[in-house]
This record gives sequence, C-alpha cells and structure tokens, in this order.
Amino acid sequence: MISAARLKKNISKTVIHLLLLAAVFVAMFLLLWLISIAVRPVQETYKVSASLLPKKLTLVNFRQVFSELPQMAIYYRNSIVITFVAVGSIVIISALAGYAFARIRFPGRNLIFWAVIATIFFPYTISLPALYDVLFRLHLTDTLLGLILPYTAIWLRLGTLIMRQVFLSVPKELDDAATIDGCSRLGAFWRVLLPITSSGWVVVAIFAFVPMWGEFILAFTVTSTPKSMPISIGMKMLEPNPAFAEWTFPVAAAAALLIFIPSLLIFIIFQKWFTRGITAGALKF
Amino acid sequence: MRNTLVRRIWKERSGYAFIAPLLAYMGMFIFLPVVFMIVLSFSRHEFLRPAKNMMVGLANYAEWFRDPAVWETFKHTLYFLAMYIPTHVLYGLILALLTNSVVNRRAATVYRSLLYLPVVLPLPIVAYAWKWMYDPTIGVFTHIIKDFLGLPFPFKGWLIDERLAMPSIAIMSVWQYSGWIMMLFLVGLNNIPDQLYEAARIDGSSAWKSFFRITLPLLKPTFFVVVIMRLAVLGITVQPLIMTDGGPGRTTMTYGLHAYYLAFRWGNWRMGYASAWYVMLALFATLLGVLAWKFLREESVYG
Repeated sequence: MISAARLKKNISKTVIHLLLLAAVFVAMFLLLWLISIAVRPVQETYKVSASLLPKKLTLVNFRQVFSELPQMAIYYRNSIVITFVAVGSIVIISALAGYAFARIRFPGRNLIFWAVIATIFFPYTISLPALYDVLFRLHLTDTLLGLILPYTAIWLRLGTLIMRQVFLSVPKELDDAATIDGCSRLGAFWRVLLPITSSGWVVVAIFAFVPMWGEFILAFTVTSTPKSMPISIGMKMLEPNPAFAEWTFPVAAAAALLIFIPSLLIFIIFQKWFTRGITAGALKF
Repeated sequence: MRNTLVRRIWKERSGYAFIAPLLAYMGMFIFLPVVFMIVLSFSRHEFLRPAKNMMVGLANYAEWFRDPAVWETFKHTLYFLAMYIPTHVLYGLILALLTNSVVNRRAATVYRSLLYLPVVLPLPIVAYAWKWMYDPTIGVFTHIIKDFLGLPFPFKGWLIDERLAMPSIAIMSVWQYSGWIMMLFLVGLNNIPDQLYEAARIDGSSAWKSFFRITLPLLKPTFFVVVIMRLAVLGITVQPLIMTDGGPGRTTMTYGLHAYYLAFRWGNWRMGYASAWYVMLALFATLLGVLAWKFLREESVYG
C-alpha cells in the first residue's frame, strides 16, 4: 500500500522532471529548429505554414554554404587561426602571471593585480573608438593580428585571475622542493608546477575560447575585407533576404550550424570543466 | 628604508619578468585605449576628417547634457533591462532550484549541461538565428501561435513591430543567459549548509518557509555577483545591431548602439563625442556597482 506522503512525494518528483524537460526543450529549441531547416530542401521552407519537421532529408545545403559563398572557407580559417593563436597566448601568459601573483612577493604585487582585475568590469566595447584608433595607428586594422592581439589582452585578465587561484591551491612545499633540487624559479615553474595545474589551463582555454569564437563588435569594427574577417562576420554575408535571393534561407541555417559545431564540440568534450570553472572560484569574489 | 625597497625589488625581480607579457598586452590594448578614450572625450576627434581634430575641453560633455538622444536611448536601454534582468534572474533561480532538487546526480548533471548549452553558443549567430525565427513569413513563432495554437497575433511581426521589437530582443537574451545565472545560483546554493535546513525541518518549518527564511537571505552574496556581472548589459549593442539596426523607427536604439553609430557609422565618425558617451556610461555603471557593493555585499550571517 502506498502511503499518502509517498504518493505526494512521487507526484512532486514527476512534476519537477516534467518542468525540467520542458526547460530543456526550450533551451534546445533553437538548435532543433535550425537542424530541421538545414536538412530540408529549399522548396519546403517557403511554403505558407510549412511543417515543423522536414518531409524530405537532404545535406545539399551544407555543401551549398561553401559553393555559394567561397569566402566562407576563408572566414572559417581566419577564425581558427585567430582563436588558436590568441587562446594559446592567453594560456601561457596567464600561467606565468598567475604564478607570479600567487608565489613571488615582489613589491607592488597586489596593486598591479587589482589594477588588472578591476578592468574586467569595464567591457572593452566602452573604449572601442580609442582602441580602433590605436590599432589604426599601428597599421593593424583589417589584419588577423589586429584581432589576435586585442582578443589576447581582453580575455587574459580572467585567465590570470583563474591561474592565480589555481597556483594558490598548490601546496608551497612542492616548488620549495623543486628549488632545493636545484631548479631555477623558471625551471620549477616549467617542470613541476605547469604539469600539475593542467586542469587550470584547460579552464582558462575554454573560458577564453567561448567568447572569442563568437566575438562580433570588435571584428565588425576592425575588419573590412574577407582576408581578415572571422566567421561571425561571414554570417552577415549569408543572411537570407527573401526579397533578394530565396535560396539563402536553409543555406544560412546550415552555415549557422557549422559555426556552432566548434562551440558544441568544446562544450561536450570539456563539459565538466565548465561547471568546475564557474564553481572553482573563477567568478567568486 | 629606500635601500631595502630597492633591494626587495631586485631580489624579487623575477616577479616582474613573469608578469611582463601580461603588462605589455594590458598596457597596449586595455590601459592605453582607456586613457586615450578619456583624452578623446575632451577633443573634437572625427576619424574621417582628422584635419579638424583639436582639444575642446568640456564641449563634448556640454553637448551630451543637452542631447535629447541621451535620455531617449537611455530610456530604451532601461526598458530592455527592466524586461530582461528580473526575468532571467528569476528563471535562472527557478532552474537552479529545480535541478538542485533532483536526487539522481547523473540526471541533475545532464539537466544542468543542457540548460547551460545556450550560454556557450556564439552570440552573433544566435542573434541571427533568432532573427530568422522571428521572421513573419519563414519564422517559427508566428507560425506556432497562429497555426498550431490557433491564437490571434495582432502584431505586424516581431522585430518589425514597434511594440514588440524590444521585448523580442529581451526574450532572446533571457533564453541565452538564464543557464549562466542558474550556474551562479547553484554555486550559491551549494554554499548553504544542509544542517540549516535540517534544523528548520526539526523545528517544523515548511519547505516554503525554509525557502524564504534560509535560502533567499543566504543567496544575497550571489545576487551581488549577478548584479555586478550584469552591469555590462547597460552598454548592450550587438543584439540590436544585428537584429533590428535600432529600428523600427528608433525603438530599439540603445545607448550603446547610438554611441557606436556616432563613432563608426554616422557623419565623419565623431569618436570624440562618442567617447564622452562611453565615459558617462562607465561613470554610471561604476556608481551602480558601488551601490550594489554597499547594499548587497553583506558577509553571510551564519558561521
């Protein structure tokens, strides 16, 4: 016999799961909808009250992305180069700086650290005209380097904050032991501390990659030709314009999915690191 | 005295070597632009007509105070914030409480990841995709409301209707960032000791009472973090830029977008005046941050 209390508990459990499933459906809706558009033939998208699910499946739209807009491959390559170089620089530089802020007691340490961290709260969009002017004077506008360098600077700060926390959590005896064994400071850092903080720089890399892959406003401002445009700007070229070219719509959906794929892969592979990054004091005060 | 400081600096000189790359990047692309922005805000600086550039003292700020566009765009931004901030904080909190009450750890993790997923998707692409979903002919929302639910839809469309354009952008933002708020609240919930709830239960307090007496007050530090992290939204630019271009009319012309267009689209690119807009925004955001610090950042009451 089921007691009333037990029944009530089961009902509330079911309700919670139903609510969560509904929330998950809402969260996934954009992806599901894009997929349903991207895999159907063009003719199916422009009917009045087209069905939510495709009747015929096709992958031709994905191929069309590259044949209708050959620059798409260039945009894609640009984005990969930019994020690869910038994320790599961020991991190295923030590990060095995080180590110094956590371990070396040089005069002015706290002042410099807090001056660096305080700037995180002012989004880079605020100084955009000035930043553009600086890049223009350095002849960096419309170059890949003109995005790589500012991106590195912008997401370096969070990386430094995370790496300092990570190094603070490493027992001090470890680097003392390494120093006694005859390692120099750099040697101790390189051979002992870097390997054991690997999960730290994975978190740094993820949290730099995610906003960088989708960065729009700086790229939109600084780039003007396909040779330096990242994928987020390339999307603009594929925008469907019903009055102008009808075919673009499912192709655009396919392009959007292609741009989502790296983000989704990173998210799936490093899933537990995301939670760890948020939990492990990255965003704590 | 001076000698010891010099000696300490010399002794720990490796510290400066370790942070040198950080300082080089920061100096060039963060600090220099910020200083330069303040200088620009006191100059007439038109990018496409540099011959006329010169220092003009407070003229830009005087113009800012007289410019009707300031209050107009600020109102649009506030309208957006009023819809967006409370909704996504509340929705994020509900999601955190729901996933937290799932006993099965595996299921809870799966729910959390799937709910967090929109946060990691690139914002501009999400904005484009939502723009298509809002489209009156090919979009899906009008379709669902009219054909599947059979409800009337008394608007021209979503993004092309004056009354609906800004709410539509707010809905998209709620959709994308609630998962992130959920994660912040989950961290906060984990910091509340279980004993408190047990004690309350023994005292015969109901679940609702525990929620309002224990959970909400102890989440105050999390609310502080959320408010501080959301101050950046005051400068919202990308979503209206991609989805509506400030339209229809100027209904979605936010403060950030107007400043951006002043600097990079309209006329001779008035970067000096735009910098004054940005400086005033930064001052306002700092003021709000200080207020939040004062009123929300209380040390937790327990332990």
